[in-house]
Amino acid sequence: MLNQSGSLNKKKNKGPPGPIGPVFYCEDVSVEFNEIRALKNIQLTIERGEIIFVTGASGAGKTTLLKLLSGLQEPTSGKIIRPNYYSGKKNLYISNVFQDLRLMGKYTCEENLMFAYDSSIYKDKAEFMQDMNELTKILGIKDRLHLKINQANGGLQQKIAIVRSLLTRPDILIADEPTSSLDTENAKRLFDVFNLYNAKRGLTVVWATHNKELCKSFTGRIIHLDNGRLVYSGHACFI
Amino acid sequence: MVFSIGQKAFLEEQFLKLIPENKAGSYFYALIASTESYQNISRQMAVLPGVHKVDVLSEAQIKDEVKGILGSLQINLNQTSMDLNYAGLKIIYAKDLKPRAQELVRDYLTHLAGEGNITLGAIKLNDQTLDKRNQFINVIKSWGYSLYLFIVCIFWMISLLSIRAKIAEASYLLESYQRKRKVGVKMASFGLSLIFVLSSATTFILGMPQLLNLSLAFMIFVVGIILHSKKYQWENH
Repeated sequence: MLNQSGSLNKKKNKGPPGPIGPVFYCEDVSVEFNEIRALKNIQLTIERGEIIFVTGASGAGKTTLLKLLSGLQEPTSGKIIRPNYYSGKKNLYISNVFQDLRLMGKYTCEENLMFAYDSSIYKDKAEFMQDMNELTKILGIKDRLHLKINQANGGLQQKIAIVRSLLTRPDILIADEPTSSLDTENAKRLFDVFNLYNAKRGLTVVWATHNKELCKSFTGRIIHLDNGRLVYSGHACFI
Repeated sequence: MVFSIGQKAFLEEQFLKLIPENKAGSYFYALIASTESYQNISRQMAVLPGVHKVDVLSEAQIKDEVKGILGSLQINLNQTSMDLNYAGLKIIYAKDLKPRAQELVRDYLTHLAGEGNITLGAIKLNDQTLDKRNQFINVIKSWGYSLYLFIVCIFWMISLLSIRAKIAEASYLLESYQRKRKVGVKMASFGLSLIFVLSSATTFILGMPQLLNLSLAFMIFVVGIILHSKKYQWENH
């Protein structure tokens, strides 16, 4: 079992080459939808290599915050600095795991994973397949890759969505409740995978979750939202 | 679509070839003073070389024709005196039959019916049929092509929209899970340009196309590409 602490933020020298320092910076950010303020005056900095849990009740603004960080949502007011993969300087790639998973129902699990094969990051297809086999083996879904997404259960679909995101070899993974259909054991196993990628590749993870069991065993940073406000950002042990 | 727009003249020519040619020539009426043998005469006339068609006239048609003739001669007859025992035939010559041959046909008919039993009308030109054909050709030339083009464009739009959904889907996934951008517009540009180049080449092979029309087709392709430039959202899926 790996240390569940988002440990790389303190060991910057051992991190992979690339920009070190904050990957996200929000200053007094608010988001409004039809005059309803989903996020209110958010002040937040996320460092490279951190693993962060975003918690809060339904409607607290977790999804909006994640969309904001992903660049899928622009703030109504305030300032946000995100890494821009294509700007050349801050070449950080963000991958998302959405709540609705966004898988192609008519394709098999393996075909869905193949969408992540990018010849610009993999030496060849064999290397991609090796990564895919490794990840699917860890998550215990290797023998179910032939199933069509429509035939797969919620847990399998969720794992496929996560594996697909990890296969893009992201620098930052933003996951919106990726363990909602998984039991605690599977959720922990998944968290181990994130930790492994954090240690191996300096993956920054921002993870919205309701899973109390997982939060209890987590020793990294937790961001807690309440009614659109960031009410706590700090070490999990103090919550 | 490019071909349809660029080769208007060629398409019109091909289509007009499909319209059956008018094979009927001039015609004349014959009144036979006995209704017994007219069917046999009609059959024999129909197989005669130079005869396109033989129509047996109904009683009403005969009366109309007779009235017309008598009217032109300013002769008034009452209804009962018109109840004669005769049959009427309309002999239509084959197109461009020479006058000598036309006379031979009339002589043969007289011979079949017997000189005393038949009255032949004058030979008339078959203007009506010719007019109808010309009218149809004019209609085709005036808006037939536009209608055809409209249908082609509708099919083109339908196929473009059905492909658009697939391109948008693939584009979204590739942009989301690979380090690629503007996949949709790139795919559309490549695919549509290829189609345009190939179809333009085919159009040129068949003859010099109308360049103005070809530019119009090009504009439609550009619009097709622009349609794919919008970033696809999963919410539209």
